[in-house]
Amino acid sequence: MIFSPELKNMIGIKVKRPMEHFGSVVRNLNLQLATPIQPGDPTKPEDYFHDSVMENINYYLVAQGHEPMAWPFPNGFPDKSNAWTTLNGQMRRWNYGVALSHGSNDQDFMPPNYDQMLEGVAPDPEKIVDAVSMRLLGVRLAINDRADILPIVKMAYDPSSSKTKLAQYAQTATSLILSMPTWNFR
Amino acid sequence: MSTKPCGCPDFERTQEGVSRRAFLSGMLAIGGGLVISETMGLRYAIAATGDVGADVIITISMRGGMDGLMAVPILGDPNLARLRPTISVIDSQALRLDRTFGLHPNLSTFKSLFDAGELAVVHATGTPVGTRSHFDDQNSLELAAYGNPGTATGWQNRYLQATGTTSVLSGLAVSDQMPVAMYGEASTMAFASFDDIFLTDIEADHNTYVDTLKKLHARSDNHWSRQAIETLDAVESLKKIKATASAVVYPETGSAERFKMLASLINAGVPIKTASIDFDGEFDVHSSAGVRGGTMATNFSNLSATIAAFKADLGPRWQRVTIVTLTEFGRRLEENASAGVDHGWASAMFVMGGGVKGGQVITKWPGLAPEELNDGDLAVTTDYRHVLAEVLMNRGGLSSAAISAVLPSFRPMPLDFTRPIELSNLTPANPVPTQANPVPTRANPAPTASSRPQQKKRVRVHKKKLSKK
Repeated sequence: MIFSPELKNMIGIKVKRPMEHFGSVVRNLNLQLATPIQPGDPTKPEDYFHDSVMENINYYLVAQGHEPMAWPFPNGFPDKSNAWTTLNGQMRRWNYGVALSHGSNDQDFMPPNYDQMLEGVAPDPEKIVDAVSMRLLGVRLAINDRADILPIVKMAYDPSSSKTKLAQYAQTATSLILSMPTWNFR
Repeated sequence: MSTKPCGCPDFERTQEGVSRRAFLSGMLAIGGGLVISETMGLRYAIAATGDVGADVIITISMRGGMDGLMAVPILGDPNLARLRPTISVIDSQALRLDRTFGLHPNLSTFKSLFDAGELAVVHATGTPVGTRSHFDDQNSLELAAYGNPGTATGWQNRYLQATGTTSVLSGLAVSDQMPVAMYGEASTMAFASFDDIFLTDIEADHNTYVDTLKKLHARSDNHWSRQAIETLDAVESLKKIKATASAVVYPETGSAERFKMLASLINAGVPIKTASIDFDGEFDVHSSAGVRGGTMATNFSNLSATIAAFKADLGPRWQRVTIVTLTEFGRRLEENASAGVDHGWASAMFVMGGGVKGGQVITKWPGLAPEELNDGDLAVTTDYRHVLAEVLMNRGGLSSAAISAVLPSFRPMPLDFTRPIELSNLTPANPVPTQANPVPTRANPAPTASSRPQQKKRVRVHKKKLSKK
């Protein structure tokens, strides 16, 4: 199976479903909930979700057509890119990536702790792009992709910001790498 | 709705999802139409409707299995009254279409359109193969490639390919998820609300950010990346369309909000060739169907009001849209012990728009006597693809040769419910040659509109069949 052309040809065909995309961002950025999920009865979603981070997460997934526990029979939610390649879906992924990487979704998640995540990395845009790429993708970016991203990362530093220089470079690099097709494929 | 339909766990799950999506869409949708500036110079701001283009072909999916006999009951049939004692339309309350068929009393807009010659009914229609499974039948209905098991593209996408369109907004699913009918290589878009489609800026200026996103996707040759570039182009264009208040009042439902958005896009001149939109009714009525008041009555009431608002919103552009309703199957003839009806086969389709030769119910009526049913279901006597084929040829401008690429292994038969559109500039189709439909040559030219078979093979109008009985 590993060497079969069918498997090889799946590259670029299957994409992360919205839930998988969301989960992979949260895990890779080691995001922590801003407020703990309140105790309650999960079988009563109206009560359980109310004023909870779950409500916003559920909203995000439903808006992309991936409502948890509402899989279509008989095959469940599709994993082919055709099903999820929607204008709404792509735009939401990019925007949510920006929100989570920049910590602007702080009612749901604490901002990522880049200073801890990239401890020991110099606050230099090139080094930070490489470090973020290694963390998210496991490899350094291709030369052209790196060259495209770097100019924007270099614009990211604002001396008046309360965030460290490293965090400012890192959040921009993160949001751009999260927008890349590679990040979205399974 | 007083009672929630039940008894079908697989559909109920998706129905809950649809309902919630509908609710969210309603919350998200903006309340306004769109205008387009003459000075924008938008790539997409051509006047696609109203001059040289074909109609906007709009499909309304009634997911769940809409019963055709509740929407368009046959009048005075003792079998219907006997087998559906509590959930059939009372003859005297039906909106009479002709001497044989009526409409559900809540479909008043449809009656007006019928009388105005802008709505036709095709009855006893459906898929060539019925499985009574929502998902199998929805899937096969949207693929519309019976006998071609390897097909993974939907018929609406193949239609776009056949027209040769390259415009990014030619195919629009007013939905959060791309429907199977839109699967394929032609660029299509899916979004349910304008609020969903604008890009959050980062530290760079907006144009630099957009250009970078495009570059990051330009080096990958795959569907996701190609579509991402299309998405960015489309959004940049849509951003330039100003939202304005529409004077038309729509019902307060998720479906209506989506129709409202579709109307605003059409009115803004976005060159949509085909659109798909789900109607959020609860059609899977295994119990408490509520034909005389309840679930189905509400469904029809909402549908009627939504179409009325949509037509009013489009104004003169109504003349250049053709709407086709689709459902995966109808219901069984006999009501069950829960005052509902289970999955069946044939249903009814509505076709409406300015180019429709309305005011007729087209059917080869199979009858409702026990020996005329198909295992207890109304039999399919008109393949739904005949309806699609005529719409795509007469209102979409496809040649009969091109239609074979859209509906493979299918020989369409004219039903004569539409007027051929006058097309001056439409790109001729580029059909995928098949054995049944080879590439046209000089010796073997493709049929033209004038050479199409005329009414000899037309489905017989129901009255002739009925008069013999």
